[in-house]
Amino acid sequence: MEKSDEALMLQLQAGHLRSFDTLVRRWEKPLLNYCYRMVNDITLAEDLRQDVFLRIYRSAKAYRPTAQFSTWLYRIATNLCLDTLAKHQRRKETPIDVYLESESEGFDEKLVDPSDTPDAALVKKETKNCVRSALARLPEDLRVVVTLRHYNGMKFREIAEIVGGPISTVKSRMTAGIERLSRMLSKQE
Amino acid sequence: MDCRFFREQIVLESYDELDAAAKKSLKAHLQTCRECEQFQVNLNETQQTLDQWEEVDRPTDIEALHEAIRSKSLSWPPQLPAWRWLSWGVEACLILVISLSALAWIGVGVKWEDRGLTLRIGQEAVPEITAQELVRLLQAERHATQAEIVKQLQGALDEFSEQLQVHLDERQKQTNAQLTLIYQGLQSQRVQDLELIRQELQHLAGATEAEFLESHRVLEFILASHVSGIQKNTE
Repeated sequence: MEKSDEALMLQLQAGHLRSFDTLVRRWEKPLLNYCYRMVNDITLAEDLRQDVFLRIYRSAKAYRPTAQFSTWLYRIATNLCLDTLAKHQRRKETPIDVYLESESEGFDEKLVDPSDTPDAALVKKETKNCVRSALARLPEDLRVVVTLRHYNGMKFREIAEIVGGPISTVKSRMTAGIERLSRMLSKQE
Repeated sequence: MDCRFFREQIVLESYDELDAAAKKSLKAHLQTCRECEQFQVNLNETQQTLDQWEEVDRPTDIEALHEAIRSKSLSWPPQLPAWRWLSWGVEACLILVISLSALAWIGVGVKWEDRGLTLRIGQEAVPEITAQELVRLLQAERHATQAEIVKQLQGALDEFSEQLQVHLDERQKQTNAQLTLIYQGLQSQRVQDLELIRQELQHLAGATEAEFLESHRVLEFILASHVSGIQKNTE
């Protein structure tokens, strides 16, 4: 039987590094995708994922299984992503959504299904770019909620714990986020 | 309830976070509201479009992660370029100087003494020291002998005694002057009153009954005010 995340964290506290590896393998994909959708840059997302795992390792001794591990993990990831986005804005660097057509494009090409016709592949790629662009233009507080709920399957109650706010705010942010995305995507079509 | 509320309910329902009663209420609303029905259709389309951004998979380099854990846990103090340490040092000094200046500006005493940096808030407390310690401190400060310091202190005490005596004499003179004034005032008042009484008595010899009664009232008044004045002065 597969051990729970919380049990693995308690084992890590006792010094079992293998438990940490298991956690990394279990969460590497959802965590990478969450960071990627938040910062819209796959290389940056990989760095952020590494930072999240490092923080988890370093905070293992202080971990108490009072909350779900996933909530804790996404809270760390959210804070790191928002800090990174804020740093980009402070330095007035290239807005992250501009990466769309540059370094991340080649990476997404690999995801195109070889069985698709060239036209279908092109449409698929265009749609992906539209979604990435729309999500990148969403305000960060709405992006966190939409990404965690739609892509990472977190419940609204859990998202409220992650962002540290009331559940009613999370629900209204979700509605606002979806409405904005709907408008942006219909314009792009 | 307005459509704004039901649109949130539509979103919640699409993520399966709506209870049965709310679902029933939403269903009833959707049957009567074309706009909310359209919102639901648009929402489904948006969600399908969002799903087009498929998940990516890039496994973590576990070895690199372990290496990062090892290096980060061993590298204290962190390996930073010299200019970074220098800039931090300058910043720390500036913050210290600004903070101390601000403290001095708001009235907190900032002094560098033998024991180190001293901050003083409010009046400086006078330390309680013994006579021997005072002699020792004065010696240390002025490099004088014990006999010289005792002599100096005796001189200061004599000077203080003289000043005190002068001050007491002065106060005595002032008090005497005040008492004399009061005495003179009382005497003057008594002379005036006696003169009035004398006049009234002369007048009574040939007075009518009405004039006699009037004079009697005046005499009573003079006597009463005289007694009252004496009582006040006595107090």
